Amino acid sequence: MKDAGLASLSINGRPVEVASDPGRRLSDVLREELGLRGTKVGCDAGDCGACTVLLDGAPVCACLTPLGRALGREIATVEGGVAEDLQASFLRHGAAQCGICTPGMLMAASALLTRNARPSRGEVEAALGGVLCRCTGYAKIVDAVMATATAAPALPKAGAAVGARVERLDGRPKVDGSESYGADHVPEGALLVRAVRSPHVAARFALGDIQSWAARHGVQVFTAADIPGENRFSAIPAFADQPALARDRVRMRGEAVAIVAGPPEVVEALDLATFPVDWSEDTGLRDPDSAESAGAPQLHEDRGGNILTRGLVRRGDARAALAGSAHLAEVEVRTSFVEHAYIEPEAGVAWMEGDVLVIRACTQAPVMDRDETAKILALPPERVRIIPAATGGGFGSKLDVSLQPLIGLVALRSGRPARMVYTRRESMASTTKRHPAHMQARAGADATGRITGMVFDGQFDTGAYASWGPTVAVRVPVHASGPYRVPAYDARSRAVHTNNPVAGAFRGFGVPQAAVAQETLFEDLALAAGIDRLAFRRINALKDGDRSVCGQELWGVGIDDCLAALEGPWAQALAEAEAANAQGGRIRRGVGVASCWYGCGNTGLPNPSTVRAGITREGRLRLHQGATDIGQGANTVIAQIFADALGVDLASVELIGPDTALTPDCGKTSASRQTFVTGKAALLAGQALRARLLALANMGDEASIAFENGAVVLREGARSRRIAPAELPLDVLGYALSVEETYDPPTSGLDADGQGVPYAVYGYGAQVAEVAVDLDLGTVKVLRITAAHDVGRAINPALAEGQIEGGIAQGLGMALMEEYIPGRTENLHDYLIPTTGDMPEVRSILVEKPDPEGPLGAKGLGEHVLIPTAPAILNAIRHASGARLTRLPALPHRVRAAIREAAP
Amino acid sequence: MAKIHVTTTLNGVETEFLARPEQTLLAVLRDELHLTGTKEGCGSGDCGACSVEVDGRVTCSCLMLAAEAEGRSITTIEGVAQGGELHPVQRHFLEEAALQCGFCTPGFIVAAKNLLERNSNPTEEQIRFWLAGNLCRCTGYDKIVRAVQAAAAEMRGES
Repeated sequence: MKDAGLASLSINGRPVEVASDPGRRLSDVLREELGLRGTKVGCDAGDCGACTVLLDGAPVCACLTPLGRALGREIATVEGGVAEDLQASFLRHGAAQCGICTPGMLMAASALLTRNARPSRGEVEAALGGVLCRCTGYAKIVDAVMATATAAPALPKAGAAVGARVERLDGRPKVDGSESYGADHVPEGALLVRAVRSPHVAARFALGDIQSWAARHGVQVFTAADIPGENRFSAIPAFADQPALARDRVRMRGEAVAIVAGPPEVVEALDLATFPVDWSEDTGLRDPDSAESAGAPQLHEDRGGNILTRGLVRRGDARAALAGSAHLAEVEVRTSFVEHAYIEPEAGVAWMEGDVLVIRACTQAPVMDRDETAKILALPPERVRIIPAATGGGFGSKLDVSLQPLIGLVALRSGRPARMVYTRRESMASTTKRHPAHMQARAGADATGRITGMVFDGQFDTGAYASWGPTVAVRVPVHASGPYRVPAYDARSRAVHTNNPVAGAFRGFGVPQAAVAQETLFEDLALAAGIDRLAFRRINALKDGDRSVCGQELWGVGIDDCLAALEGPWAQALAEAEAANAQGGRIRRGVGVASCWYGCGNTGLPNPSTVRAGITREGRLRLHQGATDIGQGANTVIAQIFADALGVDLASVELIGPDTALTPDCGKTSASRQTFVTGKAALLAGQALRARLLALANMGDEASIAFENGAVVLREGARSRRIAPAELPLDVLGYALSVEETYDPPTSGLDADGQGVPYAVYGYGAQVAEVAVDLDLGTVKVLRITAAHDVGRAINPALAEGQIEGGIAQGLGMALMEEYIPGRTENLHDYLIPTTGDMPEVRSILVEKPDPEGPLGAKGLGEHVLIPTAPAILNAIRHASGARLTRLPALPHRVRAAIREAAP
Repeated sequence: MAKIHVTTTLNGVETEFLARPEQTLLAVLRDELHLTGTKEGCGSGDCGACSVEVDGRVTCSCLMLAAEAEGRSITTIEGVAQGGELHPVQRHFLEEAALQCGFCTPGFIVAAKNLLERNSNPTEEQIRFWLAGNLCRCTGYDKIVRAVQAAAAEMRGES
């Protein structure tokens, strides 16, 4: 039985009991009973504010607050309730003179900054208005608070990282110019390397007197004959077909046939047109229909009919289902080559460290780069080390090796550092593109608007070499249903070789193209059934427990949540468009909607990530973060997941990047897999390290963990235990304590009908596009896009929004302006990408329907965001003008022609 | 080939260098002066990644010969932060998550800073117009515009 006079308080997060009269002033209790004399008493009448403390975050005068009113509430005082950076800022700005008012000022400012992290000067003055100062004249106090508000916000405390809008941990060097990308590191004495490339789409060639040419210019030349290993690479080993340097024959424009290395000023000045090579040009196959026609020359011996690979998913009898449908629709759509157009052209440098070849270049896939380069150069993988440079965008293209084997060859053969920086033209001509697609699709619905079946056939121009063509061919039929219930389904795809640029991985692996066909097809069905277009999609949206077209039972399905979140914006957009159109005129407004789903990770194949974390003897916490950050934010997001799993402040985590000599393999930055797969491995690693520390300290899971002055300190209730890493023996990884955890998504291969479990986790989304179409000119202005994406759990909402906005920009480009034409648009003035002036307002809605498998429920997002944009815009154009586009991009002449066709 | 002796004020410091007649300002900044914060994205004036200020004007350094820098004052991304203290534009780029891969970021920051020195209270349209010469393939621009607006407000003393 407690003493009746004993009051329980919570002060600065700690429980405190005090025997006192409930009517006594809180200021007296703090100072006299509890010895917390930081709180000052200046007037005892509520006039001066020196006794300001926070009650549940709100400032009060402690002298006017009876103890009884503070019971059960959180009290913050200057002794522990103020952020250190605010105190430091007061010091730095000379905001305290005699110091008696300072505790009250600090508390009032804390309350403001907690409520409003970026107050205006006026708001600071208002918030401090109740605290008197007789020394400073206030200006420096306001300055100090303003400076704190504008300083980098403190990183989240233990347990608060996930879900916080944490600034990118790697952001500072990116804004001050000190970040080092592929072209920014130049070792002393480095040779410059340039490539001699084919001007022809197809040709046989013979090299001339290279020796004399090289001697005359004072350079070294390397050709296919100098490659010691297997001169062919591909993202997927079974399809390896692309030479690092072509031998005798080129299959595409921009293919390298030789490299030239020498002193930078000499190599820069060379006219490579004088390089001795005799071309014997072929016409080549410029489109997949010609490539598939009988008697067409074959690009690769073992690929009959120029078919690289086919994909199929079949479930039920789709044709019979269509025959019995109340409503039918059919579309035929073509898309174009799309260039990634990252702003950083490929660049890197190679050098020897002993017998290890080190390559520092921009990349999305360091371990794949290591293995491919080792194979081409006949080195064991352990003799190649890849250090990813900061990478200025990738979007899929930097999954393939480009210059790595070339600079590696020069460094290996010359013993000197060798560096290569692609020109923009070279980057555009020689690296991969999005596949142009020619798609035909049919679907049916019953009288109530339920989809009965769908048939899809897609031909994808995969260009000269395999790259990621097989992945596109497999992903497309798995996803071509969209996130909808399609009970009977037959979807086929094929990747066809031509002498066009290599089509490879590009944000979505063919799914954005398939979604253009599917979402315009379902638009037709909705219109035919006379059902609101958003409602039609909700009727058919996949729900928890449904089976996909692959027969996979799905859980954590958030598509209907996304569509539901768009109901309000949809209705408003329709009303606004109707009101605008009622004015008449040649500018017509329209609204469109489209959905997406996308499986995260490799399709039915293993793709593990391994995360290592260790505590050094100096008491530092290191996270080996192997998910290459190409801008999407893995350095920040993976660290957030890890910090919370371990239960430490995010500021305690030091990152070791994806250097193949230092960090275990976290796979490639591709397939929207890093937050999910590496995130899960980081979660497991954090939990494992936490369990080790708790066991060492003999504490339960409630214990807190902090890294303090070279030691790890665990606290549980009143107990505290200090672990000194310096006293522990080093383990095999060189740490006082370390863990390594691997996660591989549980999937299964697909059978002959494409049935199985291709992905463990899917993400979902839907977007509403609002456009204005000029009926006379055929120009389209996108006015707004509202995007709802189910991310399962938003680990970092600011970065997630960034993915949405950036993906929409690429989707808008694909819809309205981007069309890569080999030999004609190999620069950024003929190839147009959206600028600030093209981008509309984007409203992001983050939906969080947890996935049972993802880390903390999280799903991938990076590719999803691009998928709905183009079809939503096309559906909006149709709504505005009646124009039914069958070819992307929707350039004005195509829009104008489609308008004419719709209303002749 | 005779090199040209050039004297400039670079990020506030008088700087001399030797340049070949055909060398661009970008090449000299990066290759001779090791100021690699300025990026080359296209080499043809399309992308704006190489933006620097020349006598207060935003200029594509890939389109300007180094010899033309004689007697001029040049500011690169390395000169934007003062003594380790980030410029408000830089800080707001971080806070508003206005960058992803970061490759276009130096050019955007130089251009945005220049805009705010000319116009302390630009409209969104003016910001978008001013920055239309800088391409970004990651962000979709929205957060860049917000960051510039926030920096402008702070520089006006409103936040």
